[in-house]
Amino acid sequence: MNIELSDSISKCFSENGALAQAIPGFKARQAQLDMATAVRGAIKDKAQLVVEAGTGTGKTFAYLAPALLAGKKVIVSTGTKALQEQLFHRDLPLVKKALRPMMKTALLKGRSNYLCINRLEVNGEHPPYDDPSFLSDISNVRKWSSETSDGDIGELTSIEENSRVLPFVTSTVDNCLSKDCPNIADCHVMNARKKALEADLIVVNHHLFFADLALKDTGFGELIPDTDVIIFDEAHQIPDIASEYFGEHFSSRQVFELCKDIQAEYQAQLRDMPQLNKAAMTLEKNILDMRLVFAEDPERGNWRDKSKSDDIVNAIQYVLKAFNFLYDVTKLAISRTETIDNCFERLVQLKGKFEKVNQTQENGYSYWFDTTKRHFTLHITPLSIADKFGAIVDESNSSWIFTSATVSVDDNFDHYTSLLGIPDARTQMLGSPFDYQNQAMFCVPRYFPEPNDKAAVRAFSELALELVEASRGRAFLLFTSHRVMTLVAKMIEDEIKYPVLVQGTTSKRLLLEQFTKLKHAVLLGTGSFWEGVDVRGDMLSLVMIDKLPFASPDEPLLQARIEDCKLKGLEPFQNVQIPQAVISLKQGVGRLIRDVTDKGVLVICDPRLVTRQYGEVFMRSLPNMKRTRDLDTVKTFLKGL
Amino acid sequence: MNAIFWILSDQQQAPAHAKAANVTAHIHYACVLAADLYRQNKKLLIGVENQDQAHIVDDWLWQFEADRFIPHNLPGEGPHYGSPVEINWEPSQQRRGCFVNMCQTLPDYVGKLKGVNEWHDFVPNDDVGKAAARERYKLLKQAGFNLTTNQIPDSIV
Repeated sequence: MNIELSDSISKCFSENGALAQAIPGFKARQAQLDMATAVRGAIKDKAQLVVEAGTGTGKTFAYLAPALLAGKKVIVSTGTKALQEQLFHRDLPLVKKALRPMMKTALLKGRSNYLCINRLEVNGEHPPYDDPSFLSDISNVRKWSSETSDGDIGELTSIEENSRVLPFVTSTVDNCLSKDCPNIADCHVMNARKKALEADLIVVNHHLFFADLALKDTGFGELIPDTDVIIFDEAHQIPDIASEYFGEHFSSRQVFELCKDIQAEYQAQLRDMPQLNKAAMTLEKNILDMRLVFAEDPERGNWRDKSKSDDIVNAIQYVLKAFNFLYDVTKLAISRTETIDNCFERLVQLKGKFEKVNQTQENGYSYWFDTTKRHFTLHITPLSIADKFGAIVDESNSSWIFTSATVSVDDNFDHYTSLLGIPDARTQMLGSPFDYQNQAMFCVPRYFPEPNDKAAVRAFSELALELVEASRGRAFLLFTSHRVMTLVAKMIEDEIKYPVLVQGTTSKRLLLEQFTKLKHAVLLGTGSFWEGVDVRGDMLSLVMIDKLPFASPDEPLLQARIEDCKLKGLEPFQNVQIPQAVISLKQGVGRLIRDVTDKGVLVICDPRLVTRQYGEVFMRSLPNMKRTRDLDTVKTFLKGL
Repeated sequence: MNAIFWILSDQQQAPAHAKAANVTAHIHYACVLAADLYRQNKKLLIGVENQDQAHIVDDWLWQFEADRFIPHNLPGEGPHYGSPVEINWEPSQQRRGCFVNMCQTLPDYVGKLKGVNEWHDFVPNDDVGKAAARERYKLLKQAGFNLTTNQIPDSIV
């Protein structure tokens, strides 16, 4: 049986194998076959496997093929909704057609991606806002609701991606009436989940997976125990996402929405209880007032320290009082309507959470806050998720496969496996098929100011102007901070004869479309542009990075890991900060060469790479590109592309 | 103070791709030696003729394999406390115990160097180079250095 299966793997990747016959232009690579064999082995032995597969290995096929051939129940989780769709609509059908055409597959997204018929009806009848744009969006949604079969908001193109209507026509765990809902028979969320339950292979995203694992309330949780194989693509994101979900948070927005819902129910059904309205308005006011105690501009910080300041202590008292008042009043209305019962449950939960996030003396957690223009969120993040996650993996009867182009640091997986608490995981490292020495040049310019020097921003702008001239546009400028990106954008916009695209002016997807269409554009981006951006060919010849992507020391998750590291008696810079920066940098660098024929130049304007001893860890972890420090050499190379 | 003159034989050539980068056998072996001294936790100053040569040495060190990485800086870059290896055509501001000489004629700042207790020099394999090395040898001896000469071991590349 085993021999047969391994035989079938090499057969299906062979020159005239099933994949080559079904997929035009398919050519298996040795690394791909190696990975498929390792995945097959992990599935057979119910083992854990971490695979680093460099760009261009073809890792998607390498895990899909053995997963399909095994004939078991499989969950594949990807980094984002966009990648989820790409996998489900592009890669999966090809492999399925080649190997198991009858297999049932399903795409499952988070609740907020599906139309809620009940909320559309309620909010359509009593619109919470009465301005024309809101009303016209609602009517567009209603028109679409009669046409859609699965209610996936992604197909809804008649309104803007960020329309204000969306929260009113989708549901949250909080406001879902679940079994009491009159529209339950047609519920799109329920239908999507039912389909998922029946499928052999489900495609989800990491957020959905962990929301479910941690909270057991997104509905496919009952699935995980029955799943034989769990595969994470873009698995380098797992430690951060898992930490987020194994923690807890309290958001003023949830309280605000609850108050609005109670007021609406008072208007609709409970007019005899004016106290209810009053209590909800008081809590709404007090929670919004508490936001005003934080700085006006969005910020994040340590909640343990912040919660001790006098104005915060007062604000907490006011909110608690209002919570108690609303609790007492709402209790009197219990069982009068389904909506008010649901509101009461939410109220109890939110009140409990609020009390919990204010008990900041608990050990083993990091307490932090962040604010947006109108709201604030208080977070509790575990210092380490290794015990929790490791236990889930151990107790499950499944194979867990983690793959990404960037999980190792200095040829070593320990950093990753210890974060996740899976020390016994098998590991495999697959090189990239690219000839980096000839395809890519890597420069750290001479005499560049140190990154904390104010002169660095101007120096970066001036160098960008020079190099973009040589590359004739076709450049990504990646930044570690939004502030520096904006400064550089201002400095170069008028000086450059190529179109300049800046993150934030429109959606990421549209910016990338414009970048490809314009052919000689320059794109400026931070965070999300370091990952998952795939521009192939000569549209991209130059990637400039402003500095090594060390996470900001006030980053709460980083603080938590540093604290945990110190508790273990280890040195945090070596064991936490450098590995994190190495993985981020590998992601950013990965944007440049996407194909065997791609060529390009990487310029990192951070002299620390050359002058600090830890530069060695970075150099050992990056692809082996042709290195230089000489800008004339860089320009000559660029002009030849 | 001790000074070692490393003798380059005709066996010791720079790697093939070095020529295009103007890297002579002398420069290459000085960089290899620098890598070795850095691994012994020594702080180095590589004394070069001028900025052009500094850039050649800088680029060559930067191209060393990642597992022979040598953190280094040119004057005016890097941390204020300096990196382990400095390349300079002028006397360094930092105290550095090890001096690796790449200048043909003895730099006139020799007397002003701070804290140097180890001098490395080279005897190239060409006539002009040899004559210049002999001259430096003589001057260092007059200055009271303890001089030794050594063949570069063949095992080093």
